[in-house]
Amino acid sequence: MTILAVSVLVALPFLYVLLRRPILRRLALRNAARRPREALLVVLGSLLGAAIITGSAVVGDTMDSSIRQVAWQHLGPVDELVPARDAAEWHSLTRRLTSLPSSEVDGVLSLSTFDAATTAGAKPGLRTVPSSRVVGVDFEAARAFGNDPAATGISGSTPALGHAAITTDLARGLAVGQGARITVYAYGRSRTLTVDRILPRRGVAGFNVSGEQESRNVLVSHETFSAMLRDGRGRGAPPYWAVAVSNRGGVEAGAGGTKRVQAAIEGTAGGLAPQVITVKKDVLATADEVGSTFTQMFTAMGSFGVFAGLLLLINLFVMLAAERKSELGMLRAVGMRRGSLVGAFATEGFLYALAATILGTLVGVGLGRALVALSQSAFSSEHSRLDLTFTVKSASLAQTFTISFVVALLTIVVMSVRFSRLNIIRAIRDLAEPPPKRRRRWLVLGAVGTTVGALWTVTAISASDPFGLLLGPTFVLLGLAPAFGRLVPGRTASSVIAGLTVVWGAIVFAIFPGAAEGASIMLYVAQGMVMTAGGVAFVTLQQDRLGGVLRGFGRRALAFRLGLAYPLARRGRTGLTVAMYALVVFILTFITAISFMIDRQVATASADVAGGSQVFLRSSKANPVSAAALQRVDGVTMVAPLSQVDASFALDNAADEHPWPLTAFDRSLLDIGAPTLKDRGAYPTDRAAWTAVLNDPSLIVADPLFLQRGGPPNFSVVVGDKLTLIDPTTGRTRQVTVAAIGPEDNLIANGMLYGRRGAHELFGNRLVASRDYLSVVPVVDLESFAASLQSRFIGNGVEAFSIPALMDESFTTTRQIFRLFQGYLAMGLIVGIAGIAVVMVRAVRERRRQIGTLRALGFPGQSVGRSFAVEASYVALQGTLIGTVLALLTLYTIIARSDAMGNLEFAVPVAQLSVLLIGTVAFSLLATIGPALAAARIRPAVALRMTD
Amino acid sequence: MTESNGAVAQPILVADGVRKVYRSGAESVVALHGLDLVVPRGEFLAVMGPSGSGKTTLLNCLSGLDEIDDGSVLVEDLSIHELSDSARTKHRAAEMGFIFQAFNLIPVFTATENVELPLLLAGVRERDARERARETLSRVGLGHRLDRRPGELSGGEQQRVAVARALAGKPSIVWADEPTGNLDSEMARSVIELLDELHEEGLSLVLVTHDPTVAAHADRLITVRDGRLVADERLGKTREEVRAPQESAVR
Repeated sequence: MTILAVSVLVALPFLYVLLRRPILRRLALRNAARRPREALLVVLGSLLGAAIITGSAVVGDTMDSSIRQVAWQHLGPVDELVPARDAAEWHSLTRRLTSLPSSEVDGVLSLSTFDAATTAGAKPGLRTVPSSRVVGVDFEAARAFGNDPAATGISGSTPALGHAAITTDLARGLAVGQGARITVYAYGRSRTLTVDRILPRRGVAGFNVSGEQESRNVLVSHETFSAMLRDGRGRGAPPYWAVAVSNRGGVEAGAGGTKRVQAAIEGTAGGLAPQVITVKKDVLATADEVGSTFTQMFTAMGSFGVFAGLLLLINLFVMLAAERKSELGMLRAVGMRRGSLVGAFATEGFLYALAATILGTLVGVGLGRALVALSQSAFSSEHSRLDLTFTVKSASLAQTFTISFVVALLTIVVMSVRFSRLNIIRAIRDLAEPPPKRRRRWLVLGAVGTTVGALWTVTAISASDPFGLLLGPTFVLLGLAPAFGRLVPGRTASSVIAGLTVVWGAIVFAIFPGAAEGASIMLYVAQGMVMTAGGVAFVTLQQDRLGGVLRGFGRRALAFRLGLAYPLARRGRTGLTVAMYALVVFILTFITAISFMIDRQVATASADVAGGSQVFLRSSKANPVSAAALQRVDGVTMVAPLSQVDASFALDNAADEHPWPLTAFDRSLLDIGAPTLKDRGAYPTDRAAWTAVLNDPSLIVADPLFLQRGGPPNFSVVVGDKLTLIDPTTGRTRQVTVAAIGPEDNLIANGMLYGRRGAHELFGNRLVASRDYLSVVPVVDLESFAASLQSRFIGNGVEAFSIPALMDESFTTTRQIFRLFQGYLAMGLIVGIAGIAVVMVRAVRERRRQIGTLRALGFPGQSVGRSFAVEASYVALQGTLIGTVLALLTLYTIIARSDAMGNLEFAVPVAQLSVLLIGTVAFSLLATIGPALAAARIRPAVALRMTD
Repeated sequence: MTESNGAVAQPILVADGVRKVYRSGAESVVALHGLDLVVPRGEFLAVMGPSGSGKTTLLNCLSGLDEIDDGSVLVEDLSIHELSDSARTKHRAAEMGFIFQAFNLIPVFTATENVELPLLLAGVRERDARERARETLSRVGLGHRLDRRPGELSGGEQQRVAVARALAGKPSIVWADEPTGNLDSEMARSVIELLDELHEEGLSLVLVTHDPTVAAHADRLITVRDGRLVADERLGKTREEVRAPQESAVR
């Protein structure tokens, strides 16, 4: 609410004018009401900026709350987990932790889990869920855990021996209900259980730390759990024994006490060297991080549309001021002070801004809803899902409202102050303004700009700061403009400066390739803005030449000539409209081209991840399929077993531990053909790098997605980075150095890759080979082959995938996310198209007398309409071309000369860009139909009578 | 309706029972009450009357810029109100020139471009149009301001450009609505002398004015009041007679 107070505060002067200054109020209100349809157009044109900002915030809120939902669904009251090495230690830990201070903790619950495969029914109607989880827990204790039974998801008494409660996710997968019998496969045996009840995916019932959206849990008593272990045989990973701790304060707020509780746990169970996993705090931190990342990402992309909206607002006010120039001059002539003129004009703008911001915020919520609906499909592939819960937070709305409102008001006030500085006589007689005087203060300001820019550049070079490298020299160039303008003609000087700004924006990261690596999306926003501003300024300054060339093509067509005359004569206004288009098209082209280039990478990326294998397989850790069994399958030529464990990593000189999966490999991976490395550092070949990591436990192959949780990377691991590898169960650590960077394996999600020997030393018997790469004889259909493996090893919970299909699925997700971005950015294009419609409507009003004259002289009505179409096309085409060319130029230099975009190969999506170009111009023309028809229908006598 | 040699001049304009009503919601105002008028070719006709009497409406209706509610208007024997909008527009481009009080130049065109506009509309080749536009501008004394935009010209110069624009297409008739209304007396005199010269060369001219000294240049003066033609007098003054009171007024 504090932020809303800012809105009220900035509104106060205008409210004062409306309440206490009757003349100014009358001027503001009557001018606003004078032409309601045009006032409505101004409001509609201005609301899009607020809509875009609000839409971005709504997406961020939704992502944040959706991940927070995971905390409710998978953890409930569980704030910390304290894992034990074995059952004996688990019992000891449970006993110790029950004495945790009740002022901090409102529950301690011992639970144990292992992975299992489950089936129901019989062939041919057999239903299987390969990746389910058996959870041993006492239901009465669980319900009491955290003093909030509803949050635990547990109901009823603990199932008896041979009975179980299952979650809705598992019930749906097996298509069973209460009373059904299901078979659970683990540790080489199967056991049939009777389903007593179905529990929701919530709290302890939905307990899940795998990262998957669904919790396919079989909840049993400790007795049943022990019996399944006792009966078991084989080489499965031991169960996960843990004691869950619930902090006081509820599901989310309780996480605030994590630090104190962690200290209390370490104090209470000191002798057992407990490892405290702060699961709730981590999930909530991830939610906040992902939420803000998405907000930032959408806001950054949307900022192009927002800036375009601001330019539209400026353009509209320039037109309003031009139309009312003599009126403003008269007001000054009859004694109105400049401040009052600003007050009247700005208060009218305040009314528009208020209406536009309120409407824009509402439209933004709708836009956010649409984005969330579209995002849901992007986040729901066959093997990966995130359920999105549409959320609008009042705090976000207040924030976006205030930002939109204050920015719009500031723009309006600045414009009003500028318009108030009019020469009364020139204004009344509607005479052209003389060229601006060369003022000494511009020289001083220029010198300051140059100095600041130079200092920033020097600092940026030493710190490899991409923003400083981009903006420092840009400031220097801008600062030099006034001095340069005294040496050569003003327009030449400005053109040279604008041209150099574009060139610098395009080549900066080719000159400093390292600076852009891992940079935030805001860098590209800044780069786009700088280049677009420079490009539009350059073209605007050269409009005469450009127009001269174009006029040569249409000498006979008067409509063409008239259509070009206005944009060429009013370069400033044309520049504003062109900039609107160029800004939006820049980012649209940027995203479209990257999406296209990524798409072209599918085959290469698939081959890189697959190495010499074609099929990837994972099985239940409690009942893994052996490499020998797989080797016996017809068609399998080679098997490379891998073992995945939950590990934690700490960055060099940092205390924070980051849970991240680790996959151990052995020589068989090298034999089958290891994945292609993204970066092998100093090693001469990939094989040399893999061999070094296999043999040296101090080396590791890093996951290129390490510490990235969706959205643009805010951390990039590089070869040579030092990390501490931690076993979160035992707390054992090892220092490792990143020897190479692996490929982006997306849905396979190997995480960090590490030699088996070193991994075994650290993780002991929990290191079980439950993932395999298979090379197979050439088969017609890899997907059918993978499906046959699943049916053959049902009891092992095998999930097998064709690697190309799996990679294609992950690329489809990426593609959908990019489409979502494109759709969102198209909103910005609406700003441009709506903008040109609004500008044209106002142009018809402004040129009414001229149109009347032209019609009187014999200019046909259709030609008047056509001239408006030519004008709109010229502006739209120019903006679109500038945006497209600059975006491609930027991408080319980034991709060709730096590693900021990984291994992308530059390519131009000719078809998509053609659609963008033609579509933009076509929609701009469509938007001009109304004003053009209105202009064509103007009756000469009416126009002349009204104005004369 | 006789020429100097005694022959009967062909009328360039014949208006018969022209009636014009302005409607605004339920209200309607009769601006012209069935007005009849014949203008012989080569005549300089001045229209005077108090404000709101219907002078400009008369000019707009006779020139075809505005619709009429009743009656007919023949320009060069062509009933212009029976033509489609497109045909009337073409006819205007080919046969008429217009001069307005507020000059009404296209601000984004140079003086030359403004003047060549009607020529291009009449289908004259671009090179010829440019040549004629320059000649016409030189003739009105603006040979040195050819590439200036309206904003860079004085009021008198702008009106000269407007006169040049009206004449460049060699129209049969020129309609002028208060052409000196926005000019000081010196500039007004130079413009009206220019029109005088053109009229002497045979141009038909219909001019609406408030100013009796301007009207004194005409061959004939009609007075309009409340939408009715209340006086129609032939002015037989010589050029010298017309100039004398005007010069004294200037003094």
